[in-house]
Amino acid sequence: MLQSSSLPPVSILAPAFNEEANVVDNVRSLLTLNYPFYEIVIINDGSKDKTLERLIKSFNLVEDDTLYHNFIETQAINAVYVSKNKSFKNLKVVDKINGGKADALNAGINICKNELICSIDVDCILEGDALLKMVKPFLSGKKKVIAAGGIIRIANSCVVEHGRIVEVRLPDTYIARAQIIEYFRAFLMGRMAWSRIDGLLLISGAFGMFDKNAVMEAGGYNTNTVGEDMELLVRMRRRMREKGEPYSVGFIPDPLCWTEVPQDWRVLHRQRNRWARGTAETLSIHRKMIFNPKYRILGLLSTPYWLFFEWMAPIVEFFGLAFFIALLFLGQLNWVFALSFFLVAYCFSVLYSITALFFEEYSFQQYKKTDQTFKLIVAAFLEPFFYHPFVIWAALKGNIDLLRGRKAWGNMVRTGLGKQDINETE
Amino acid sequence: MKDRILIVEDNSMVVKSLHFKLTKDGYETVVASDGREALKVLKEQTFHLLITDLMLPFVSGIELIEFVKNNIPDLPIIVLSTSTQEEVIMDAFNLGVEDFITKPFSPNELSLRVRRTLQKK
Amino acid sequence: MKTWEDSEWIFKINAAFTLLFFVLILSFILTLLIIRLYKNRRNRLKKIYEASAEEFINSYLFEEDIDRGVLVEKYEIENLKTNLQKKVFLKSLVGINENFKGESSIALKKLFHQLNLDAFLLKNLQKGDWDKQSRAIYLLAELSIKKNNLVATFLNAKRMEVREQAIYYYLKVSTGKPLEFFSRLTTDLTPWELIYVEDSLKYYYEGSMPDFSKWLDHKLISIVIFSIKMIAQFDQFENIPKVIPFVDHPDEKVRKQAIKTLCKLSCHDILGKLIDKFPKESTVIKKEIISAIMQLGIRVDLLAIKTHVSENDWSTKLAFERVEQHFNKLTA
Repeated sequence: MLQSSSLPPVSILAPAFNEEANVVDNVRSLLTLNYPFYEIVIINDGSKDKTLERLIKSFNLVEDDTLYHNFIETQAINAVYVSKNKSFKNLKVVDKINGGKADALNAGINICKNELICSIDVDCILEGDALLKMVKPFLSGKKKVIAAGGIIRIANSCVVEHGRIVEVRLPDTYIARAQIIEYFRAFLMGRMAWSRIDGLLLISGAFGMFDKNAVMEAGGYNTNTVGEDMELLVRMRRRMREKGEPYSVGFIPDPLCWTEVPQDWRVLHRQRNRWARGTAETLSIHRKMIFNPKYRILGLLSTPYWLFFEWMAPIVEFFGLAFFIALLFLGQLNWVFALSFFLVAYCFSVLYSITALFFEEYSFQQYKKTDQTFKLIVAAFLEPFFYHPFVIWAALKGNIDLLRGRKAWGNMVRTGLGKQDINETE
Repeated sequence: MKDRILIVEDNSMVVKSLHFKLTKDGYETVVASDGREALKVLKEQTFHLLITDLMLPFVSGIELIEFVKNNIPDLPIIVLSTSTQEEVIMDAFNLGVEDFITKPFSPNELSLRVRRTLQKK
Repeated sequence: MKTWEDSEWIFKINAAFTLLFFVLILSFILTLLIIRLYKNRRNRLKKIYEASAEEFINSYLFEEDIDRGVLVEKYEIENLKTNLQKKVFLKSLVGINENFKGESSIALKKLFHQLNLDAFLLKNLQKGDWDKQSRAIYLLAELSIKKNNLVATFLNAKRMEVREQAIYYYLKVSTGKPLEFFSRLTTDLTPWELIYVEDSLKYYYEGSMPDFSKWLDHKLISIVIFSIKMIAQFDQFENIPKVIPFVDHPDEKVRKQAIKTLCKLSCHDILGKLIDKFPKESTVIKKEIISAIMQLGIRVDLLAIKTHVSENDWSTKLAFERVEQHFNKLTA
């Protein structure tokens, strides 16, 4: 519909670290988005493999001498590349010394030329009109919009052609299906509800759009946390509140971005370990906001929620279980209570998942076949036994690691989307 | 024998109308909904006329026209496209297409142009 | 084993909640399945209706030796009984109409009235939810049905989707005064809506372009900015003198757009004034002036402002240096 030259130009920032297997295909897919003006900035964060070489060769890149200003301090930039080919004229590749994801995004912010930035994971698949829909909140409100996020969907087992999802399929593995249930709960119920009361604290790092000036004023991404996506939004909101400037954060209730989730328990463990550390770090950096009425919803609802239900829940659950086992050994257990309480808790968690499924069926209905619904219902019943405890354990381990002072990002092992080659990044 | 026409168009409503109209006019029509399918059909069967859109999935209309001009030079082509940009129309004529009709189009006019193109041959 | 009355309250509560949750789970699952089956059926029906509608429309248009009156009457009685049937039929009708012009297109509009579908649309427009309303307005626009006053009430509707369709309607249906609705607006249009108006003017509106200077004194600032912008978009050079005063407007956004427009219309005379204004301007306007110098000026113009680019204002400085680099490349 909209092909207007008046739409604001967007800069897509995609950090790449050791992505040689798929980076060229991913960029090709990004080049075909349906949006009049956008720039793609790939930040090669000191990859040790051939990521940069592949990009240079495939897109005919040469060094570019456009001036930029290092507003946010980052690791040194080796060079900025642009393509000699007209058809890739909106592609920019930044080659820099390794400094982690946050540092790479900051370099991208310094170098990109547009006022709206869209940070994405380089390997996620965007819907063709994703940018168009994401831009909408920035152009629709009376208040200044500083950021917008959307619903993330799971791409495992989906059929991908030319960088587009052409058929949505349900993953074959239980571990991926359990994550589908989990994502439904998080996005269709959690974030949707939080956005309704303007209490959103997290825009997923896989796909989010930001007002560049607001990000710069807040100081860019924090390189000292593994939860840089959450920390940035919390800091931006905190700053706007302290400045007393009216603003809002948009949320697009449409599935715009598809990402591959871990199908390997080991990798899932690393991911959740990292998420737990990110949450703990963000809450600790911004602990002044918790219960602070000055921050309104954020202080009185959002941050306490994250403290108790996101950060502390795994710890409480773990100690509950430990207590149960202790009583069991001491022979002090009241089985009637234990069992009846277990049943309430179990039914409640299944009810929560089923409600999320219900929302999905009511709204988007990406999984259109009746047998897919059945499989998801089964997954919802099994999840509390065979998935949830594992995630809790990973989160607990994350907190333990944090106390011991572990900072590194866990590496992700991905099976290339649309193909079967394994991109091992150990 | 009836003249055979291949219609390449991804909008199913347009396809159905064209098929209906041209069948009424006494032609035999075959339909392909994307460029890849069109190439396959062109290699297997013979036609007297090709009507094609330019924006097609997988293989574009321009690529399709190039293929026809190189391999089946006797097959006349009518382009049916939403594009009103002069350069696109020029590109198509430079590749040697017989006629260019822009959408929205008048079915009666199209029918006349089809008849004329087939007679010229 | 204790009986229910003997057991402790905590057990009772647990049992009660378990039961409640369990019942809820079951009813949700049941509803889920019912919705799924309903949707499956509806989708199957839609496909059948769609095929029937397209078949009928094509016969109506292209079949030669038939009595169209009888055909239409029979179709209305047999195939347009439910709302779903009407909805699907309208979708097909508009879909086909989009691609046709000439007598076929006229015939399709006549068919719409013959089948009494206007009554159906008006009912949706007056009583329906916002999605039905916006759809109805869209269909009225596509079929160019004159209901200006009725649609006007939706220009200030609460839902953005409805407002958008109302704007689209005006641009599509009106032949001479596409922006007549500006005078009926009571609140500012959002940037998104203005982009929508601009797009519709460029791609759907078929009449002659209005003179945008007549909205330069509109009470809504968004409309003023839009008009200044459109003067550039549609190359209305004759309006340059009317735009020049807006370079001194108190609102920064208006000044910015005025500079952009004058640049686009290659108004070289404005450069001197902009250079004079430079020291006192905000960062946003400073950057705009630098960009104007790049488009309209020469190196000397850039040097004229150099002393007013502060070291601390890094974004203005960066813009300045980029243009300097640009001029260097030209002379090299």
